[in-house]
Amino acid sequence: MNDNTRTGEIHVPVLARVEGEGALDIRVREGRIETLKLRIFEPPRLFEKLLEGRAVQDVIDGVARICGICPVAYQMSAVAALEAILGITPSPWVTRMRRVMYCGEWLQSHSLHIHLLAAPDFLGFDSAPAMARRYPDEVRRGLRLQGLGNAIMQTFGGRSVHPVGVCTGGFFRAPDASSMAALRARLEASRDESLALIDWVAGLPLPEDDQDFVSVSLRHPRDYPITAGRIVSDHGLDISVDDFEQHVREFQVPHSTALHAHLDGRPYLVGPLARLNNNLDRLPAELRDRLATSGIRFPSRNMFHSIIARAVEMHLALDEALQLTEAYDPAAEPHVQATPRAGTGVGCTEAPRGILWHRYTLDAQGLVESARIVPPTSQNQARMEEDLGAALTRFGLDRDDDALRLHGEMVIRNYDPCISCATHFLDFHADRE
Amino acid sequence: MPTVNEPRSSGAGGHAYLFGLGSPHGRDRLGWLAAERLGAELAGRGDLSVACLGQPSDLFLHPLAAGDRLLLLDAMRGKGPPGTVMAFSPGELPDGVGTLSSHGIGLAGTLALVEALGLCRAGIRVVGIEMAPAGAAPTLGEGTARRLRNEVQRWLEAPPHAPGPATAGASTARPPPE
Repeated sequence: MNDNTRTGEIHVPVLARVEGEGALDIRVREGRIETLKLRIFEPPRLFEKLLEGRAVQDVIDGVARICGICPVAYQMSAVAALEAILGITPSPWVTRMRRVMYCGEWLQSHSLHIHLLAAPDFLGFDSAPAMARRYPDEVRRGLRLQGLGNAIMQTFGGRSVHPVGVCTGGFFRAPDASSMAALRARLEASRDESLALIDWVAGLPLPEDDQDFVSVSLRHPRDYPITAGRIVSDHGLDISVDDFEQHVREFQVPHSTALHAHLDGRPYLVGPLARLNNNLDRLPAELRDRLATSGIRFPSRNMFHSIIARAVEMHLALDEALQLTEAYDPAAEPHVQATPRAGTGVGCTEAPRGILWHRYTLDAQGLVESARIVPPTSQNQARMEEDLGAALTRFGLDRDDDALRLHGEMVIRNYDPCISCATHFLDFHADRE
Repeated sequence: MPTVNEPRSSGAGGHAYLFGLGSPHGRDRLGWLAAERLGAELAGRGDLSVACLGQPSDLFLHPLAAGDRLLLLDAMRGKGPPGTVMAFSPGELPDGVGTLSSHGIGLAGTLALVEALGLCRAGIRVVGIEMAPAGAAPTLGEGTARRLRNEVQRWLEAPPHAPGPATAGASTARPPPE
């Protein structure tokens, strides 16, 4: 069939293995994509409005409920913003342990995505259980690493799903030395597994891809960015998190209940590939060398290299958790008391899926007057649509509907989207005229 | 949380794992309450490990093997009066179990992975406990505890690979009318 004349409609009912619920509509006219809409149709969750009038601790515990995969990210961005208002500088112990807790979330989220959501695409399986029959050792390794991440979060937050241990100035309690020793033993025992995972993922048959996009992430003066830094891009952006709203414009599109975002007028990428592209020099030398031997070059313009970036970040997270808890000594005062005061503050941290930006305004009683939350999947939506248009055109619009659907699903899954953090499938429609 | 190096011993039917699913608070706590109670009552058995899991996939943190048996205790809704105990094989789980959210991997997905990995072939059983109405504190009454104990004892004493409780059809034990 001639690409220049192909018209018609494709309907694909279900896309599995993404977080949330949405749809993809494509209309093809005379061999070209006329419209492409990544539809998000879940009702708005109105979390920002729900937070108004709430006390500071309600915010920290409440925003954890936004996402079952990255509750720590929501808590950390919120607490950073609130501490900025309250004039609290966390102690070095708290800063280190918050980073450890965040490492746990990276481990569990990335491992879930690699093994249960993304890898089946690249190996030709339609589900994780189908892949597990052929790759049982790899899947079990992934589940162990995911569980290890959960265990880290549980150590600090009491539970891995919607943890409750974080407060302004620190944690409600410090993990005791024996539980930390047990956790460290497991981390140590898993180090070789996370290294082996990098090699396995780098050896997956990933599609060739070369796209022009803007990578946006945090950048820290010393560390690989997780809990703090300036917002940078590989196109010259370098701003304080306070200036985010001067450069990022969120806007409503008719086909999505989640806002889209542009950086200085164009789509941009956040997430592990963007982080690694912008922070290769912040990796430990050993890890950078390991990545170099894989033959995959970073910075990368291949969106499918996101899965490799996730594996690299998993090992980084595991190693950081080990280093930061070396000679662990429970803090006698794991948090400091906060005195309510009015003000506005922002916080931005690197959620597994990319930068997560919060702004709060408190009144003199310390109650929320207004809140704004900009999650990474919202920021990536415009980039996903841009990517889908390019990827499906390059893939060949004359391919049959199933092939187009599968490729579209793979492109979307590659972003590990958390579509409004609630349900689990995406419908796909393509009209050909 | 138990580690992958936890001690274990096995009887003829392999090692048995009894996991409560849920969370520390709210009505979803019922699975944990049941596991805690049964764990205390069965503490003397060396061929049984009991734990509370925050999410089903945490069971992979335990050293499950092909010859082992798996029993999951979870709160359920809409299957009878509060305290009703109902046992299912994995294939009998009601449609939609574990599909309310894709955050992580739910019960159905976890059991599909257990099957795909060839684990716990000596039998898998899911026991649901009907929750109290919204607003009521989660409690495990004596009658419910007795029905659970009976269910678990039958499961533990069933021969491996037999069409016993591990693979048989759903069974229900309802609380007597008040």
